[in-house]
Amino acid sequence: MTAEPQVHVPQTTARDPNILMEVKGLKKYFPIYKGLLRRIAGNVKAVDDISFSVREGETLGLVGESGCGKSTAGRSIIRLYEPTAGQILFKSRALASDGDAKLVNLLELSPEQMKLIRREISMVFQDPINSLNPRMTVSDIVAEPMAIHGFSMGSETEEVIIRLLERVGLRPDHLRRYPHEFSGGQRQRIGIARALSLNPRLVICDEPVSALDVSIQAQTLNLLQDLQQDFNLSYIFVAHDLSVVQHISDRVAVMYVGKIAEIASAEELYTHPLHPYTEALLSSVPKPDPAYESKRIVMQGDVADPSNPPSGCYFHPRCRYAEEICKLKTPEFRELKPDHFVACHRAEELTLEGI
Amino acid sequence: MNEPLIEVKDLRVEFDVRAGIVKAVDGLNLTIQRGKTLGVIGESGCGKSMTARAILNMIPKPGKITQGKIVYHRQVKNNGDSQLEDTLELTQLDPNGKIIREIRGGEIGMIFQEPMSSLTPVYTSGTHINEAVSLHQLKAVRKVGDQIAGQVMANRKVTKQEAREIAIDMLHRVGIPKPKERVDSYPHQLSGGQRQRVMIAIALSCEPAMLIADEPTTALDVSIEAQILDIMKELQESVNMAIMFITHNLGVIANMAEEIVVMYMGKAVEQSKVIDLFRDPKHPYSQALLKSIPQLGQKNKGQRLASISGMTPDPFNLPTGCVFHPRCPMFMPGKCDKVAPKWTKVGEDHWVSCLLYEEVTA
Repeated sequence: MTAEPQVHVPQTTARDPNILMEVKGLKKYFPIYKGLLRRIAGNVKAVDDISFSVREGETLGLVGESGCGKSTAGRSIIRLYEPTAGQILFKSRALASDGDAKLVNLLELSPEQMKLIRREISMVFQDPINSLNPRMTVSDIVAEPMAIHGFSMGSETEEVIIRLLERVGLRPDHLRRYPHEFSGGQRQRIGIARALSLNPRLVICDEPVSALDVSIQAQTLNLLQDLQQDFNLSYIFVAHDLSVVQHISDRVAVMYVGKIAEIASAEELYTHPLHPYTEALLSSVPKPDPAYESKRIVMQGDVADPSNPPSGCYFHPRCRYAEEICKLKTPEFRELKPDHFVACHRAEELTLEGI
Repeated sequence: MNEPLIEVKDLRVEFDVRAGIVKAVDGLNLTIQRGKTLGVIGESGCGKSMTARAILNMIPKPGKITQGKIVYHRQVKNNGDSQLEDTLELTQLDPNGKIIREIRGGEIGMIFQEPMSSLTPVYTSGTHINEAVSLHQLKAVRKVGDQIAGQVMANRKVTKQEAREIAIDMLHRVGIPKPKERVDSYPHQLSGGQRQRVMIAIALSCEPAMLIADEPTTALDVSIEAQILDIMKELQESVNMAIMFITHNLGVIANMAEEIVVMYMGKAVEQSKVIDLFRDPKHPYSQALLKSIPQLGQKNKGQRLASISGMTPDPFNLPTGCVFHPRCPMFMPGKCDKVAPKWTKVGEDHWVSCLLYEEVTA
């Protein structure tokens, strides 16, 4: 067993009053049961001690390969999965008594309080087909959050819904239709309208455009950006497409096997990556330019198994810069440059190439 | 230098369903050259996968090829080295006949997007599965080595032992670690990327003259995608194989293809060398497609993407004239909605189907 890695929490709260949410040492383990007695034989460490913050009005991109825990992280934040450990501090208005926002730890809240928080944090899902109930009309789907949270259900509601639908680019005559009557892009718009129906401040977008065609993807990304400006929304944007994430994000966190490898502003991360995994990932993205000479860094092997990760730095078996220390010690997640955090032993000495 | 392998001429594939007739492919012309890669791009529903299936004569029901020809220039090995060329019209063959079954898998290999769709719960043992399709998907209950060996033995005269050795060699060539052990693995014991590599191994085990790759890397992560693309290029060079590469990912196509066909609603709208399409796209749809993808490395935060307005039209009720006109930024009223554009040459090996260019040349 390796020593328990220290929880290094970037001290951003003190110097930055714009923090909307701060996640500290978040862990989500899924137990593996074995045998007749369903004994716990191990854990899939889907999210393993991650820390980051989201500022008001910004978009934080969360990228990584499949199975790296980015979706689990997104879902743990609003306790769709109950986190194993950690703190999620959120500046809540709904729970504040005196009108001013109050900092609360979501993991300590009662179910009633959590329900209030879900007005402020909503979610857009990846699959626009399965995330909409096929037996509900568009108006029912968009109105459902309002009904659950006890807002008026009279004729006013319908007006609100129509305004929402128009805002996301659907027509009022779509109100009585069912999800199957819409295309993928339109369905995703319905999902977005639903997410916005309670005036949230933070929207967690879990791969919102990866199931869409490129032309529809562009429309949806534009819509998300417009809505962000109009409603001063913050996004946590979970995706695997690095170019989409660069386009929409202010800051980007790269995840690998349940941990954050690197986090920085989008421009900094893409031009001056500090983690070898980020470098390799960026080099692997096929460029839409036939004249571009590929300097692809081919990572050997597959992503590590989160139930049985390698020793030391999880990336070391695939890393071309790996040294002895990488096998032995878990690298510390530290701020190497202002607002640029990385977990790599050799980050100081390596010169890595960005885009 | 260019030697045609497959010529698709004026192909039309129709689906006669209750709500009407859908023309999945409508008057498509394209040529695949021996040893070269042809990229086919377009959004979902544009008919790119149907074209691939038409070549293998395996259009799912109720689809039918109602028009056109697919000419296959087949090389028959005659006593080892001397090669005879034989021209076959694929659409005329019996879809269940001996010849097409020799070609499928043996001479034209195919890789599909989803590496393990045979696990779909709707396929029970009683269901009749199209054999041609099942041949190209991994079976969950058979060892991968046996599946490759089965494919080899179906197409080459080899013993069981030889087939197994070929299987191990193929697994090694597609970069699967410890191929001697992996040959006895079942598909569920492999990761998604490894399964896709096994699919490639199966498709390439008979050294086909052409490989149809239908979105082969769409379900994979970029790091695995990079590995798979490298393997495909390497194998293409070693056996002089043609590839028809179907995708909607413009980055992948820029890396893989020599020539590109852009499809929209069952029609080819533009065809050119890869460099010409990316440097100087002619058709407004190709131009819009290229502009609508976020480009890595460009500092464009806050900028909007140029999106194509509207949606793809209802296939039962296609627009008149040019099918793209309701979404086209260059729409010319009175022309584009009345006259269907013709296939016009705009440069060397550069063809486009748009009224803007017919004006110029006329």
